Amino acid sequence: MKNILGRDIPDYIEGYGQVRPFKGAYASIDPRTRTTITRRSVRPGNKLEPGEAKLLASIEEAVEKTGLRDGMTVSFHHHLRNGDYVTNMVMKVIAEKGIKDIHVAATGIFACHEPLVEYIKSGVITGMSVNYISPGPVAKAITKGLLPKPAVFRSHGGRPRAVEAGDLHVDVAFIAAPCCDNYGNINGTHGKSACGVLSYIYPDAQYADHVVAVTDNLVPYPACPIEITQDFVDYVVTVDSIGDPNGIVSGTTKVTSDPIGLKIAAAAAELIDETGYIKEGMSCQTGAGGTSLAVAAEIKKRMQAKGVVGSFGAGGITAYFVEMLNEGLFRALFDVQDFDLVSVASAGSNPKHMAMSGSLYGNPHNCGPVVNNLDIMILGATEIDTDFNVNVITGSDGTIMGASGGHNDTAAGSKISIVVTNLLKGRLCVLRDKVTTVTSPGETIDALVTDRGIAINPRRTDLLEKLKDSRLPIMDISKLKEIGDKLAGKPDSIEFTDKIVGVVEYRDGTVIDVVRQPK
Amino acid sequence: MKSILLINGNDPKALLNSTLYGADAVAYDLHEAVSANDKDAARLLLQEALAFFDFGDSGVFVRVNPMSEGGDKDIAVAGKGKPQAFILPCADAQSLPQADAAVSALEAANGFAAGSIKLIPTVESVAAVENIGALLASCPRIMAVIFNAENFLKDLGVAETGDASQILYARSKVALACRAAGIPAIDRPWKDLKNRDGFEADARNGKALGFSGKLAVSGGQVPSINEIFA
Repeated sequence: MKNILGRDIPDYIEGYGQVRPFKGAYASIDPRTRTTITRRSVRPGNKLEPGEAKLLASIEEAVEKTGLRDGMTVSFHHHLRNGDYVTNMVMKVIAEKGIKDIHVAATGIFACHEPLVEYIKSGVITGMSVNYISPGPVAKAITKGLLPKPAVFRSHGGRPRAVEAGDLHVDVAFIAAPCCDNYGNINGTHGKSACGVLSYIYPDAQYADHVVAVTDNLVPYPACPIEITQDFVDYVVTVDSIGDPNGIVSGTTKVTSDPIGLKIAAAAAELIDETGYIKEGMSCQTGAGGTSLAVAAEIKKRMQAKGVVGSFGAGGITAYFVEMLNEGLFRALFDVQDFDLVSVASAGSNPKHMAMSGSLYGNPHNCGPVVNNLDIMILGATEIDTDFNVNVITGSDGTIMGASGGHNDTAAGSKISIVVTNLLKGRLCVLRDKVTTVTSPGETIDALVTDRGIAINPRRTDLLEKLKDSRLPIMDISKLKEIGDKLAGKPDSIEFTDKIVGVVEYRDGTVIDVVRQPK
Repeated sequence: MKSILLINGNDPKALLNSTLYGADAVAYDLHEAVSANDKDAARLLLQEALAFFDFGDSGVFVRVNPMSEGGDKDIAVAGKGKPQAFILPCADAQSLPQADAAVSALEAANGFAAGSIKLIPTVESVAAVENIGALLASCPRIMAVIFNAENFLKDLGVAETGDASQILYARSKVALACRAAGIPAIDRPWKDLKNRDGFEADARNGKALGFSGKLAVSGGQVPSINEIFA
């Protein structure tokens, strides 16, 4: 069948199941029933039977206590990013115990998770679901079709929706806990491995059958502050180290000094200003890349010039947004992950710097996520097509190199979503007739700002009206594509096999696209 | 003409992006940016690029090598792409007529209108500064003059101290002579990209002395130059 975007998707995908086709960004906002779970009860401390204490001696004991066995789903979170040790440690124990057919439901996968490739090859891991994946060995293994079941790509809001709905049932959640007491109270902002807020794992703590905190910083009861409370945590395990906090630093968390990036940023800020979004109480989110942060810097200048105080900044938080908060340019920050150590420190000390769960961030099936309150969203793109559909999952050769993260959540929720990118990346034009993989549907993307011109989504007639006298280089997206194609030429189409290696769920759980194995 | 942006003439990506910075003109460099072994390839690349790219409203120049070091080849080969002007390093009473003759030959060989391609001499020797009035009067192709302080001080035999007063006389003389001849004077390039404040102060100083613009060695310098010389 073809979904509403014309993407060719089977009705049923082996290893995934029946497909609910994507029907539009706002087509499934009807009331939803959440799943129910069964959790163990814990006797008072002086009534404990032998072997009932929460504090366990090892990950191996936790695996045994939780009854982890073949065919189960284990979950992990990625707030330690490329410094995470916990995922590899737990999977090593699972492999050593001879357990097979595990589904790894990780919020994010990085290059440091390379050992998982061997577990995929040996049948320990047969399925994966991620909200984010960085280019690297695991992404390559999925692209090559080594995983018996297709990987499922969800958004940061779509994953908690799936957990709450029971679409993604987690048998055992392992929480990397930078600070934890012996009864399972956790925070992510204190300790030698402090990584900031632990937002993406909150739904797992609430909905998994078993929850295990893995910590390298066991503190006297009660841990303070408490981010994940003891009533959700079955067991606590201490290890020497849960990760390297230096690994949490994202590749680029500074404003770019590249003049072309700065030019794009200035144009995006001008567009935002001319369309009236820089105003008292405004809210804003950008990515952590250099150009995105340059847009934030330009917005900041305009906020200062107008004497505007924004309501909040949101998303993955960088030092730059902390600086804006501290300078009084935002009244608060909503934080789902911290990209650098300045943000980690702020999250642990400033009450205006607030953690939000993945569900609060972007789940479309609750009483309103924060993305619904977002005015301005600055996004990136690997590819964008003339219908404004965006791909951030596959590269120019069809290799998996990313996942939605909050892309389609924020694009759908924000009042103006702007993709900023160089028109030419490497030797290729980012604009295509059809993107290789749809991550965010074009109906949620309002503008494309590049170094060689700006295109406004024709659906946004209000923006076009406001910009009719603008001196910005606004043109039809087809014209912009012509410019790119003239310089870079049209790339040959990528050839794929019929094997589906990835299923891309939109935030509402419908299938917006699939990733096929490149030939 | 406020800003001329110097671009490596042998870097396809740099060529591709060269007009994105908002400079009044881009100058593709075959001189300092290109190693001796790569000069032939760079000339051909530039010839193709000049013919292919749409430069819009931007001026398009080629900085050739000194006439004694292959400047004539640069003009003959890269010139087939018909730039608006050649920037001539180490210009003096000897090399300027040579360049003029080479450009005339280029125009004749390729059917370009006589005199349609201009010259922008770079003044960087003591003699050239001292005789700049005569130099400007000697060639009708001159559309602007660039002052290169670094090489001027070398020729003067003094070490650069970073104090702009070292070059005050030379700078003033170039600016005055150009103004008298009705030719734009383009101030020295600023190579210390980390010293943003120094760069902007130097640009303001040049403007105060009568220069029309400044040579940019990075796209990031262009917006400031355009603003300061506006």
